[in-house]
Amino acid sequence: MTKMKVNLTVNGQAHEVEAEPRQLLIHLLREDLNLTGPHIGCETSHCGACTIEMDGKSVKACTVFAAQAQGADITTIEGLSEPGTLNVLQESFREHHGLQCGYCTPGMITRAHRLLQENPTPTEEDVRFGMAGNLCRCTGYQNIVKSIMAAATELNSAKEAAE
Amino acid sequence: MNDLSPDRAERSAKLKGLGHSRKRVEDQRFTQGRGNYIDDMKMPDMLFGRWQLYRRHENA
Amino acid sequence: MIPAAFDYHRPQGIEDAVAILQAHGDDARVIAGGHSLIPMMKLRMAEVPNLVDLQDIESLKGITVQNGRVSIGAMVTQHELITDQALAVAAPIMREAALQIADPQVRYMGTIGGNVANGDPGNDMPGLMQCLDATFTLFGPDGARGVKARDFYEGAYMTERDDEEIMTAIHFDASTAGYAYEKQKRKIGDYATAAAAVMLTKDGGTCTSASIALTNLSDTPIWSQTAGAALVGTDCSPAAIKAAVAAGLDDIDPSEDNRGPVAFKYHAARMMISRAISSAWARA
Repeated sequence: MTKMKVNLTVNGQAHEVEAEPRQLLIHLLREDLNLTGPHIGCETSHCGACTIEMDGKSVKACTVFAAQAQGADITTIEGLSEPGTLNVLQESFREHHGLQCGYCTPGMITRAHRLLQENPTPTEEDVRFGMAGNLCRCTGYQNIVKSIMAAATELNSAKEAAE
Repeated sequence: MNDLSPDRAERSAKLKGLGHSRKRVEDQRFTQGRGNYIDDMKMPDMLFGRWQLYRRHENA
Repeated sequence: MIPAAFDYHRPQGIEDAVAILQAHGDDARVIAGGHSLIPMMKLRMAEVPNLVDLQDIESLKGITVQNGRVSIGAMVTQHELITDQALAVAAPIMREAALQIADPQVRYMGTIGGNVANGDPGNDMPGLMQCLDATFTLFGPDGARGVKARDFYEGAYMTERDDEEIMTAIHFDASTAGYAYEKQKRKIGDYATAAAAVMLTKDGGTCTSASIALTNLSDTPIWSQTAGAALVGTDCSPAAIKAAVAAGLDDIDPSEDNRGPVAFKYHAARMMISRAISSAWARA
C-alpha cells in the first residue's frame, strides 16, 4: 500500500516518517522512532499501557492511526523528564512502590501527569476515576494511587514554596 | 511492649537490614520507560512474528 | 492486530468529505474519534478501503447555547462535553452521562457524533438523545436535513442516515428539568448492562412531564412513551414508579450475552429505571 509522509513532533523533536496510513501510532513510536517506553498490553484498547500525550490529551496510541497524528505534538514517557533524572511522579512511584513488573508504568505515569494538570488537588476517588483507563496486573492499584496522591502533594507544596 | 523490650530503633540497628523494605534498583529504568522488555529489543536481522492462537476452551 | 490497508483522506470542508463518500460509495467511511471504528478495523470486522478523517472540519466543532437551544457539533469530544460550562448549566444530564462512558483516554478522543451515528446499541448517547428529543442534522449530496433521534434508529448498526450523509450536529432544548442517567455496568468503563435516562418536570409536587429512554436493552435505544406517561400527574410515589418501570420493561427486548441472562437484564433495567426516576424527581 502507498506510504504517506507523516510529520509530527515527539518529545520536542520534529520528525518526518514514511508510514502506511493504517500503521498504528504506537507502532510508529516504538518501531520507527525507537521510543519503546509506551507498551502494547492488550490489542483491545482497554489496558492503557500505550498511553501517550497528544496535543494536551491522554490518548491510547494503539487506537490512533499514524495518519491521524499528522501535525500532532506528542509526548511519551521518555519526554516527561530530563534524560537520566526522575520527575516528581517517577520518584513518587519509586518511593511508594507503585510498580512491580513495571510494564503498565509508563502508561500510568503519562496518564497521571495529565490527570494532575486537569486536577492538581485530586481526592483518592478522583485519582481512581481518573486512572480508570490504565490497568495493572501486579500491584492491585493501592500503591499506584498512593504514589499519585503523594506526587500531587509534593507538586503543590513546591508550587506554594515558589510563590 | 514492656520496659525490657528494645525499641524500634534498637531492633532495626541490631537486624542490620534483615527484613526491611528496600528501594528497588530497577524502578529508575522502569519509570523512565527504559525497561527493555523483550518486545522493546531490536537486534540486527531480527524477524517479527505474531501468532494468533485460539483455544476451544478456556482454562484457568 | 493490524487493520487492512486503506487510502486516507483528510478533507478540510464538509462538502469535500461528502464528495469523497459519493465518489467511493460503500467503500468509504468517515472516522471521527476512531475509538469505535479502529478497534473494529483492528479485528478486521470492519473493512474501509477509503477512510475519511473529519478532524480538520471546523464546522463540526463547538457547543453553542442560544435562546434555550443547545447545538453540539458532531466532532465534539466526550471530554469537551464534560468540561463545557455552558452545557453544564443548560443540560447537566449530558455531563452525568458522558462521565460514565469508557475511560479518560477514550473520552479525550471519542466524539458525540461517533457515539450517536454509529447505531451501536451499547452506546450511551443515543438513548439520552431520545430522552432529550434531540434532532440530528445530516449533510449529504442534497444538502442538510434534520432527523429526530426518536426516528433515527432502525436496528443494530442500521440508522436513517444514507451512506453518503454525514452527521454534522445535534440539537435539543436546554432544560431545568430534573434529570438522571443511571447506568449498570460490570466495571467502570464497560458498556451498559442496562441504562436509563430520565428527564422530568415537577410543579408543586406533581409531575408535569416525563421522558424516559433505555439503553442496551434492545437492538436500538428505546424511548418509552408509556413509561414517561405513567409518571405524569403523579407524585412519583413508589406505586407510580412501579407503573413506569412496568411500562418501560414492556418496551424492551434484551438479549443474553456476556453481561448476563435475559432475566438479569430485566432486573438491571428495573433497578436503573427506578433509581433514575427517584434521582430525577429529587433534582426537579
